Amino acid sequence: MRVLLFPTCLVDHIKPKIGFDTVKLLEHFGVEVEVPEKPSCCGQIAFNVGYWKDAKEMARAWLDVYDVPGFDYIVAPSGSCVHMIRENYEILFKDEPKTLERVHRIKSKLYEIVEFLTKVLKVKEIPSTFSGKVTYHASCHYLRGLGVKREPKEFLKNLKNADFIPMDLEETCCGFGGLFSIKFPDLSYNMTKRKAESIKNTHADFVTSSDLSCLMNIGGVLSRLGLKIKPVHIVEILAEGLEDEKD
Amino acid sequence: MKKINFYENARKILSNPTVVEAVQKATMHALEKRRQTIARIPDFEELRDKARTAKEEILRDFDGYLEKFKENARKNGFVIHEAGDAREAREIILQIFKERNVKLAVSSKSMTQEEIEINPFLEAHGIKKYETDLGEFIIQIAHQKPSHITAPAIHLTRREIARLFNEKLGMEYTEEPEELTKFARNYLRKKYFEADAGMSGANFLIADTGSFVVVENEGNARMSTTLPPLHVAVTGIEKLIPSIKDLPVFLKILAPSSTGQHQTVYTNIFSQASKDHEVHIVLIENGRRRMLNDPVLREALMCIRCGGCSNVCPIFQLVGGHAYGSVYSGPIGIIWTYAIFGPDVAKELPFASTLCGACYEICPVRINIPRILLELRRRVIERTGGKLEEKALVGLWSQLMTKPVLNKLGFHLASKIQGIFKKDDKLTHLPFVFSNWTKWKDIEPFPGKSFRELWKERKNS
Amino acid sequence: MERTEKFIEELKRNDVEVYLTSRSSLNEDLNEFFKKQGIKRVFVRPRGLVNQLSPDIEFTEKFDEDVDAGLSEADFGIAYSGGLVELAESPSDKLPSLLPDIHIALLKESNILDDFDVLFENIPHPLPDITFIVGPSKTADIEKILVKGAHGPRRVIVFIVR
Ligand code: SF4
Repeated sequence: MRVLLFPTCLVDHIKPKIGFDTVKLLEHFGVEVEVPEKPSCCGQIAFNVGYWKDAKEMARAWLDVYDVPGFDYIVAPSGSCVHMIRENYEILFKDEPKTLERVHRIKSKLYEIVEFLTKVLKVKEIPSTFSGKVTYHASCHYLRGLGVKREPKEFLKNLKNADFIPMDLEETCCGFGGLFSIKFPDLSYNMTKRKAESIKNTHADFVTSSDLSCLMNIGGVLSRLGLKIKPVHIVEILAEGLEDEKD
Repeated sequence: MKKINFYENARKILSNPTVVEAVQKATMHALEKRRQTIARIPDFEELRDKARTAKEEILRDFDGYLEKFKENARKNGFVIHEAGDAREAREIILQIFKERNVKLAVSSKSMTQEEIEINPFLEAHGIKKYETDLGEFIIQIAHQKPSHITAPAIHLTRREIARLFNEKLGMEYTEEPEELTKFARNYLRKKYFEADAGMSGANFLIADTGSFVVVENEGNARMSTTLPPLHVAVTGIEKLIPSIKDLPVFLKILAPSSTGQHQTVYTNIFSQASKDHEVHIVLIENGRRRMLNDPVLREALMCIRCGGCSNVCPIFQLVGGHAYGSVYSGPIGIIWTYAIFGPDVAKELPFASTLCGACYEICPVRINIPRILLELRRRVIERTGGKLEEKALVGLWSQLMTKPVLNKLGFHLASKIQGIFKKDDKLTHLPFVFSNWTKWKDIEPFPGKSFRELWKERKNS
Repeated sequence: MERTEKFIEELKRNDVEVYLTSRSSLNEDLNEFFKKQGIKRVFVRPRGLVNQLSPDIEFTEKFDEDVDAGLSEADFGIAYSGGLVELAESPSDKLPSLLPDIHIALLKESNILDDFDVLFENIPHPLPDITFIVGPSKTADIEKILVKGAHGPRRVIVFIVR
């Protein structure tokens, strides 16, 4: 099985480790992974604030990179980027039947990583260990957009040694919202602070999520508040204790 | 109406922790009650689908159902008036009152009445109108606007209300909610009997029987619509439902989605009028037809004004209704304000959401609010071109993401110069628009190389 | 009967006081209730079961300050919500369940329906005005603190007549 990895723009440029951990997970389950040479972004940052022209440009470029033969699936370590492509490209290209065809073709192959592991590879459990107390933030577009609720938490619960502690505001938005956080910083901060308090109350050492964007946002406030809780992407946790196939 | 400055309003509210705390408490309370109540309604999801279907049916043949309603309502003896906009609506109501020499009116809660700003208008014409819902009554004597659709005075503490009653109504000072409520009860009791007219809104207009429905908890709507010899109901035309057989479905979803109650205390279904008790219905269009003809906005006409989307909205939970600067607040309020008061007034509002989707998830009639907000954002940017710095930022990102050479150059440059904004290995004081981020949040520095570069290196090694 | 039990359960959840009685002992039970509660003047809607009573106290068809309670026969009960249904031909029919501090409703057990649907199928056309009453009048508009008797009755009492 061949997978073309969509690292997402954020992981690509801000935290490459998440890309490698995604590869590590996929390879552990026998998947062959390839990474495109060109950079790409799903375009949601522009789409979500109304700049649909720019969004279209990015989306088209994304399709050029990923709508290529030779791969069974496209996998990304982000719920919200997958949501953008799966749900919003059709809106964006509603007047372009040719492009829509490409969108439909690619939609059926595109998965978020945990979704891919559970739905396509039918993985029930990650045979790995992780030591530490972990709490989980359900990213909005992952939870309500893609409808993935249980699976990531099941994975976390079943990791050896991991201590999973749910937070009370698990499903509440962290206040990122893309450019929302830059347009309305005081509001965004107050939302994130509420989230941070909920995280703090779990006494966890780590907060994890499917989306780096949320984690950057939450982590930014945790750091500013001087809290020692570490934001880590869910693939970082899941891949941590896996033997590196490559070595 | 002037442009609504959402963020400015929101910041003012954020600086008042009592309000923030009160709103948070009220909304979380309603959500928790909703959760408990829904656990007792096993077919709740099906009921939502049925309600949605009934509302879709209305949109399918809006004019047909409206005509049917009017015809049947007239058969019931109701007098039907139609107002194209707020001004017309006010004139119609004034006319009805003048003809019957109305000097004093009592009214139950109605958003539509707020929408057409009837109170100051009547006042200017020498007609005193009392709000009788306790929350609305408090707001009225405080000369404020409601901050929550079902809990209008939630931003006020009992101390503030006590002072208000003491100063404005001469009540002996007490902070006991029980005593304050009793005082308002006695105060308004007299008014019901003295009033020449009672007013209400309507939650539902039933096409096949010409009836209309008003739900409430306090009994003030019952009083207002029963004791005075004249009842004037003011309502938007979107409140239609096809049949009285659909009503159970709506009654079963409304209260749980709203206050979290299983049912409201009183459901009043009106189907009768007489010489001694006239009933007039003022049907208000005011932008609704524009919505109907708009392929994206029309879905918002299905709203049954439960306020659930406000309760669950993490932004509303922080700042409450006042930040939205309009009678219609919260996520759906953004859409209604845009549709009714126009894009110039509401151009900032569509952005007042993280698109987290909690509103869509809770909405009993499944209105895809984030989807509509996205469309409104597109329209605002198309009309205004967008803010310069924001436009530049989006444009730059688009270039970086679609032009590989620029991409490499740009991020290398960024990783080189970021050092000057670093403190303890975190970026803490970025320039330009990014300062809005580092105002409250740290950020990890960029790595020197992208994942793709590192991947290539690893493969080639 | 299962339906009655469900109805009673919901009534209680709605803070309604419930008494079970029969046609033959209704009069006696009511008189005793009036006595116990110190109710001396009752504002009535003279219709149905109410007309068959022979009260020890004063019944009046006019509301005034001295009225202690309101009395009416509810047309139906809805087990789903624990609600009472009142059909009214004119606005004044609605007042005994609205104006006094205490509202006493009589309800024949045979008029308890499972759900709203049944009601709308059985109601005569043209429709009368219909009021559903689910417990005492209440408000939580001041700091979310629940207060009963906002504008309407503080107490609602139902006598289910078997
Ligand atoms: S949009 Fe939906 S949730 Fe919001 S008030 Fe309307 S019906 Fe309720």
